[in-house]
Amino acid sequence: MLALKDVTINYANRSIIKDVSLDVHAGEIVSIIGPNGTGKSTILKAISKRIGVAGGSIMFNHQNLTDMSVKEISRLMCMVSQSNSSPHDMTVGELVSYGRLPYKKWYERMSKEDEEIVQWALSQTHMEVYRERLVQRLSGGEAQRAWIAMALAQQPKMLLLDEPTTYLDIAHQLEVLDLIKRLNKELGLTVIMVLHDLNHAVQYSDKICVIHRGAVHAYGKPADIMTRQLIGQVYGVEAEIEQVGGVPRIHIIKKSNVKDVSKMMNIKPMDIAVLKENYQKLVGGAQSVFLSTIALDGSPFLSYAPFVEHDGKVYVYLSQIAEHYRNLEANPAVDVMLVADESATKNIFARERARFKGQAKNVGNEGYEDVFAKFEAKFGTPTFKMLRTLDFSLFELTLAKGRYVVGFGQAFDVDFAGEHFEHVNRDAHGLDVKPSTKQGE
Amino acid sequence: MFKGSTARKSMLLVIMLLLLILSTLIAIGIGSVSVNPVVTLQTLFGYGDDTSSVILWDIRIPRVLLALIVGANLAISGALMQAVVQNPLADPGVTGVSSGAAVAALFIMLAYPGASVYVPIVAIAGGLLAAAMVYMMAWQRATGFQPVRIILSGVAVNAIFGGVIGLLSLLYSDRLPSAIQWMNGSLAGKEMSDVLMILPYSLAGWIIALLSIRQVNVLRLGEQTAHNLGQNMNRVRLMLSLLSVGLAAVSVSMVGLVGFVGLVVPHIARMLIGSDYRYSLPLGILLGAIILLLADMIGRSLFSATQIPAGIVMAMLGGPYFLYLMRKGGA
Repeated sequence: MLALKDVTINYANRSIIKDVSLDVHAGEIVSIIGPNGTGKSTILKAISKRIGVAGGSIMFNHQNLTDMSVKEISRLMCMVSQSNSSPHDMTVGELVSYGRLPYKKWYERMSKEDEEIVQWALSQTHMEVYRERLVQRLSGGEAQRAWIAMALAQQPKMLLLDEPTTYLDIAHQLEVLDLIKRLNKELGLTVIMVLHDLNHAVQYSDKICVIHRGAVHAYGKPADIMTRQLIGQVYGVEAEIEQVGGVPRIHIIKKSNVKDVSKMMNIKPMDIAVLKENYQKLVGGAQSVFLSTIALDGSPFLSYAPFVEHDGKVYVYLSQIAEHYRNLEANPAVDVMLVADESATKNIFARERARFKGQAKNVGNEGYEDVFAKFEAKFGTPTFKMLRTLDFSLFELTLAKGRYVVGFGQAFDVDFAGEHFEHVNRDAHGLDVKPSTKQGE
Repeated sequence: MFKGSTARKSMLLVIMLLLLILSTLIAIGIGSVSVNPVVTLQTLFGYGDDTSSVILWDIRIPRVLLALIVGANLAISGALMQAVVQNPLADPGVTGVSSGAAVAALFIMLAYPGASVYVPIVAIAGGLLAAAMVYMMAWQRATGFQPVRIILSGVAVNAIFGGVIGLLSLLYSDRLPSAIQWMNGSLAGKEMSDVLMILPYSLAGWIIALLSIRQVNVLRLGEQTAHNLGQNMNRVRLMLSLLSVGLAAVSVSMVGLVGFVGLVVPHIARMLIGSDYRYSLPLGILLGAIILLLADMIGRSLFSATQIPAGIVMAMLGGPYFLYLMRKGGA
C-alpha cells in the first residue's frame, strides 16, 4: 500500500533521514520506534507530504506522492499528533466536521451525508455524548479520541499517529491504543504510528520499524526483531526480554555504561584527534593492545586493538574491535561476543601466543609473533581482570608498567563526550569499521 | 455573553449593524454646523435644503464613508494577518506595508511637497514593495512561508523603514507639521472622488475575505492539522497575505497610518462573538467601521480649532476599552 524507497530527507543542509525504505501493507499496524531525534516524526511528515524528500520516492498504491495534491492526500490519510491545538471555543462536533473539508469544494456546504459521516466518526470513537463539549475542556484521552474522530471523518485509508499517547496516563494510553487497534481490525484501517513505549509497540503492532540515526536499523515482526542486542545498540540500555505467549515483553534494567567510557578512559576531544592522527601509523607500525574476549559458545580468544600512549595513558582505538564483531557475525554459531570471565582469560595471553605461533600477519602486516613479543617487551606480560560484563564491559588491563582501563563491548558506537566515530560503510548491522570524520563535519 | 448559540451570535451582528447605521447618521450630523438626524435623513433622500446638502454631500458624507471603508479594511487586514502568522500580536503592519507606504508618502510630502497629489499612488507602491520584500525574505525553499520568518522579516524591514522615516523627519524637520496628520491617520479633507477610488478595491477585498472564511477558520487548528485537511499552506498563507496587504495598502495610501484597528478590533470581535471567523470576521468589519467612524467623529468635534487625527483618538480611547475587555476575561 505504502512504499518508501531510499527516502532521504534534508533539513538545513543536513540529512535527517538517509536511504530509508519501508513497505507497509494494507491493514497493517506499523510502529516506528527509536531514540529521540532520530527522525521518526520526520518520516511521518514526509509520508503526509508535510515536508518534501530530497531523494527517493514515496508511493501510495503505486502512485507517487509528488504527483498528488495536498487535498488528494488528505482523503487518503490523516495525521494525529501528540498534542493538537484547537481554539478555546470549538466544540467536538465542530472539530470533527472539519474532517469533511477534504471532500468539499470551496463553495460547498456540509450535506446530510457529511453530517452522517461525522455522526459515524463520533460513534466509532464513543464520542457522541461529547459532541457539544468544548475540545479544550476534554481530558487528554478524550481529546485524543476527538482528534481521531476528526481523522475518521476524513475517511482515510491510512492513519498516521505521531506519539498519540505521549501526554496520557497509562489507562488512557491503553484506551487510545485499543481504539486504534479496533479501528484497524474493524475498518481495515492501515496505521503507522510513532511510539516511545517499546512494549506498546510490540503489543499493538504487526510490524516494528526501528529507526536509529536516520536509517532503518531493523524492520519486521516484533518477535523477530526485538532483541537485547537491538535495544542495547539503539537505546544504549540494558534490557531483559521475556517471551509471553509468543510476544516479547521487554524489561528495561538500566542505562548501559556505553557513554561512561569516555570518563573512565579520560578521553577528550583532543585525545581523539591524536587517535585519528595516529591511526595510519598504528595500523602500519602496529602497536596493539590485547583484549581478552569470549564468544557465547564459550571459547575465549584474544583480540587486539591499536593504541596510542598520550599523557601517560593508553588509549585504544576501539573501532578495531568491531572487526571482530563482523567476523563473529559470519559465524552463525556465535551470537554475540562477550567479555570473558576472569578465570577463562587469566592466562589467555600465553595461550593465544602459542596458538598464533607461526601465523603470518595481522592488520599491520606484522607477524602475530612479533606483536606479542613487542608488546611483552614494552609492557610485560598482561593479566586480565574483569570489571564487569554485559553489553558493555570494561577491562582493567594490568601491565607491568601500570594499570590501564580499556573499554569494550559496544565500543564501536561509543560516544566520546559527544563526538562520534561515525562508520561510513556501515553494513546492515552497523558494524563497518572504517574510521571517518566525526559527526557533523 | 454572546458566545453561545448561533441565534445569539446572529443577533449580535444585527445589533452591530443597527449601531453602525445609527452612528453613521449621528456622525454625518455632527460637526462645526450640526445637522439633526431628521434633516440628515431628509437630505440623504434628496429632500434637504441647499446648505445642508452641500455640507453633507461634499464634506461630511465622503469623510464618513471613508472612515467606514478604511475601518473595515483594516479590521479584515488585521484579522487575516493574525490568522496567517498564528500570532495574536500581528497587525497589518507586520507585512511592512505601513512603513513602506509611510516612507514613500513622507518622501513626497517632505522632499517634493508640490507633488502631494501623488501621495496615495506612491504610498500604495511603497507599501506593496515593502510587503514584497518581507515575503521574499521570509520564503524558504524547504519550508515555504513560516509564520515566524514572516514576522522576523517584517520586524527587520519595519526597522529599516523606521530608520528612513526618522532620517526624512530629521532632514526636513521644518516641513514636518504638514505630514503629522498623515502619520497619525487623518480623514480630513477627503472628497467623494477619494471614496470612489478605494471603494471598488475594498469591496472586492471584502468579498474575497468573506469567501475565504473557511480557509482562515482551518488555520485555527494549527499548521499540521490544516495541512492534514488538505490545505496547501503556502498557497493559503500567500493568498490571505496578499489580501491583507492589499486592503491595508489602499487604506493607508488614502488616510495615512491608522494603528489600533488592525491589531485590536479582531480581538474585540473574538471576545464578543468567539473565534469562529464566520462570525468574528463580519463582526470585525462592522466594529472596525464603527470604531474608526467614532474616533474620527470625536477627533474632529472635540476641539473646534484643531482636528485630532482619528488614529490618536482611537489609541487613547480604544486602548483602555480593550484593556477592560481583556480584564473581564474575554480572552
